[in-house]
Amino acid sequence: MQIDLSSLGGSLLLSGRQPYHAVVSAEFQRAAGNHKELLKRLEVLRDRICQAPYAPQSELLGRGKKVDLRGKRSWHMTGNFVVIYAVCEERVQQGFLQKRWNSCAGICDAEPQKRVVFLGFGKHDLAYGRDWQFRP
Amino acid sequence: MGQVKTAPDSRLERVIVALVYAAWQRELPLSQTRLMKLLYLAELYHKELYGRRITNADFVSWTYGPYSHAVALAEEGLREAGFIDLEPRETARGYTARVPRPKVAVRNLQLQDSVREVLALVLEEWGTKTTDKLVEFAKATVPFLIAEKGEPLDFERADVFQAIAEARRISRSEAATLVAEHSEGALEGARKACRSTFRPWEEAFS
Repeated sequence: MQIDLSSLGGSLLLSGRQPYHAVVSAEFQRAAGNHKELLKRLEVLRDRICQAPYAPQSELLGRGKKVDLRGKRSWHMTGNFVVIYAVCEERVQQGFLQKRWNSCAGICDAEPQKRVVFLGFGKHDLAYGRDWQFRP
Repeated sequence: MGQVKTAPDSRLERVIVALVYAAWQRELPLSQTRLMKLLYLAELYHKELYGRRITNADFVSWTYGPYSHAVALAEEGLREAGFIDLEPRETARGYTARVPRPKVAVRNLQLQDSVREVLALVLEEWGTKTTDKLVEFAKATVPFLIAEKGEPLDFERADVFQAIAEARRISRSEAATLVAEHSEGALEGARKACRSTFRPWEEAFS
């Protein structure tokens, strides 16, 4: 078999095989629309998150200084971008729903759905700002 | 290119062959510098998505961005073995670039789906961008930012959450929260989630 070049340039290989279903908030859609050059990478990341939403690359968020982000997860994307999402299944099973940590009222049916809700996407300024000490 | 060869043994060489073939087939500009940066980004993207690198090639921080002696040696080996050759081509600035291009067809490349997907992604995203932009982006990545010139790039510290957690001596979750709070766009979505409308991804981005 010769090298299959079409697979290197064709549609995404992993599409349609994810155990979790992806939905996006209007804000996520708007934010992603502002970075059209990243849509392909976002698609690949979506596939990966829908394949393994609890992968070690993601992190469960906590209560921040500006806003309470408990119950949501984030995944970093090279280029100083961050994706914030919630997993319906985790929300129900871990009791986040009872604690009212996630309030995706427009979609939640209180069932542990295999669904990833993409809430927010945007550029962060931490690495560019270099306000964190890298070296010991 | 009538001759067919069995793929090289080393994974790094197979990845280089795949990248050169794909770029050549799609008529994308390629040079030794671009090849180096594209491979670096492929490593970074793969690590970010799957938590592991594609190869174990070392990269160091250099004047024109990440540089890997292992990649240079592998490319040289592929030329000597007759997989690729270098075609001299004049650049827009009047320099002569040596453009890697495939010399023979290759069978049994045996690359994982995730690797092929990331290579396709890197080519799609960066294949037509200028070398200056490519170098600029590579230089802005975390492993490059945290290394001094000549030092090896630490892909383990490409995990921004972990790097911030270590630097500030906070938990990874606190670091991730900090990152989210430094992103107005992401924060806005999280804030407004309760009032938002939701759509399937396919419908939203069709």
